[in-house]
Amino acid sequence: MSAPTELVKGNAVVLILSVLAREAMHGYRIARELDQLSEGYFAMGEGTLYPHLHQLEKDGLIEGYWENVSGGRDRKSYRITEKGTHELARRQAELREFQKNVNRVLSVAPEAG
Amino acid sequence: MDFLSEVEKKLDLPPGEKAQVIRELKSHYEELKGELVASGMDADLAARETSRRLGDPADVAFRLQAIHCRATWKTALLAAFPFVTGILATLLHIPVARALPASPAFLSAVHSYLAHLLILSVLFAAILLTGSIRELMRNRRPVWLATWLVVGINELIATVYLLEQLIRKQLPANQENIVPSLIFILVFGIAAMATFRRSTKWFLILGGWTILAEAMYVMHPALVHTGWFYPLLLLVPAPLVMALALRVFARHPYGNTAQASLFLFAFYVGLRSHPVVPGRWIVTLALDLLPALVIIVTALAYARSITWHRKLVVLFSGIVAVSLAGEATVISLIPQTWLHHVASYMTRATIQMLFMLFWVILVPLLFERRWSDRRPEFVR
Repeated sequence: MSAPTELVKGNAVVLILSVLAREAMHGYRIARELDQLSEGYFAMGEGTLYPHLHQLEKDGLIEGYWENVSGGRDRKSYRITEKGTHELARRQAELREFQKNVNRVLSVAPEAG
Repeated sequence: MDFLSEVEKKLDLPPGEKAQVIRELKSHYEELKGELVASGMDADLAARETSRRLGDPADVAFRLQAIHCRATWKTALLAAFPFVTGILATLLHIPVARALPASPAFLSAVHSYLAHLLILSVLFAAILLTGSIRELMRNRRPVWLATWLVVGINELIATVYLLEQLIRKQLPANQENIVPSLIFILVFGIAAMATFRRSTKWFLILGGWTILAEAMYVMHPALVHTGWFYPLLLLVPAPLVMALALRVFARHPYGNTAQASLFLFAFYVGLRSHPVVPGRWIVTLALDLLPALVIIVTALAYARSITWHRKLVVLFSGIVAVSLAGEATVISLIPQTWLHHVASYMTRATIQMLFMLFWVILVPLLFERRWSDRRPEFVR
C-alpha cells in the first residue's frame, strides 16, 4: 500500500529534510532511503524528487554540492543547512500536534468497516 | 525518446543551468539502471523500467522550470523595489524642480535638492550594496540581486556626480574646473583596465580610450555639455559593467546569461532615469519617470516569466519600450517643431535601441557560447 500522491507532495519537505538530517546524500539515495524507511509507503515518481530538492535548495533549507565518485562520474549531493534544521524542528512539532489531534478525534469514532 | 532526452527537450533554461539539471538526473538514471541490470534485468528492459520509475518527463521538466525560472511575487516585488523608491524620490523633488530658473530661490532650491539627494543616494547605495554583497558572499543569485546591485552601483555613481556638482558650486563663478570630471573618468578607466588586465588587447584599448576621453575633455571642456558626449563618456565604464555582469551572473554556476542581461538592462535604463537634473520638471516626468515605470514592469515580468526565452523577450520589449516611448513623449512635449524633432528623436531612439539590444542581449549570449567549453564539467 502506498500513500496518496497529494499526501506525499504535501509532506515531501519534511520527509526529505528528515532523511538529510541524518547525513548528506544524493538524490538517488534519498529516494532509496524514503522507500526503505517507509517500506514502500512513500513511493513517488523519482523524477519528481528533484523539483522538491531544487526548491529546498533555493529556499536555503538544504545545500547542494558536486562531488566526484568512482568511475570519473560527478554527482550532486545535498546537506541540510542550519535554517533547514530549524524548519524541520518546526514542521516535526506541527505534524506531531496534528497527528495527536487526529488520533484524538479518530478514537471517539466507532471502528468502521 | 527516453526520459532524459524528453526532459532536455522540454526544459527551457539557460544552457549552463540546464546542463546541471540534466547531469543530476542523468546520474540518477544511470545509477538506477545500473542497479536493475546488476539484479539481472535485460538492459533494454532496465532502461524502460528506469524511465517509468522516474515519472512523466513533461511534468518533471515543467516543475523544474517553474522552480528555476519563476520567482515568487514577493521576490519579484523585491526586484522592482529600488526603482519604485527612485520614482518616489523624483516625485518628492518635483516641487523643488518647478522653481523658476531665473529666481534667486532656484539656486537655493538646487542646493537643497542636491544635498538631499546626496544623503538619499549614500543611504540607498549602502542598503542595496550591503544586501547584494551578503548574497554574493553566500554564493546565491536571487533574481533581485541584479537590480539591487545595479541600483547600488548607480547610486554610487550618482553620489560621485553630485559631489562633483557640489564642489563645482563652491568654486568662483565662471571658472571651469575640470579636475573632478577628470578624476571621475580616470577612476572608471583604471577600474576597467584592472578588470581586463589579463587581456593585453583590451587593456590597451581601454587605456587608450581613457587617455583619449581625458584629452578631449582637457582640450574642449565645453564638450561635456553637448548631448553626444555623454554616451561616449559611458563607454569608459561600459567594459567594467559588462565584466561585472558576466562574472557575477553569466559565468557563475548559480547565475545565468538572462540575469546578466537583466543587470545590464537595469544599469543602462537606471542611469537614464536617475533624477539628477533639477529645473526641468516636465522633462523629468517624461524622461525619468517613464523609463523607471518601464523598468519596474520589466523587472516584474522578468521575475515571473517561466522560461529563459520569455525572460529575454521581456527584456527585448523593455528595451523597445524605453527607447521609443521616452523619445515619443519628448516629441509630444514640443509641438512647434514637430517634424524636425520626429526625425531627430526617432533617429536617437533607433540608435539607442540597437545599442542596447547589442549590449544587453547579444553580447552576453555570444560570451555564453564562447565560454561553454571552458565551464566546469558539471555545467557543460
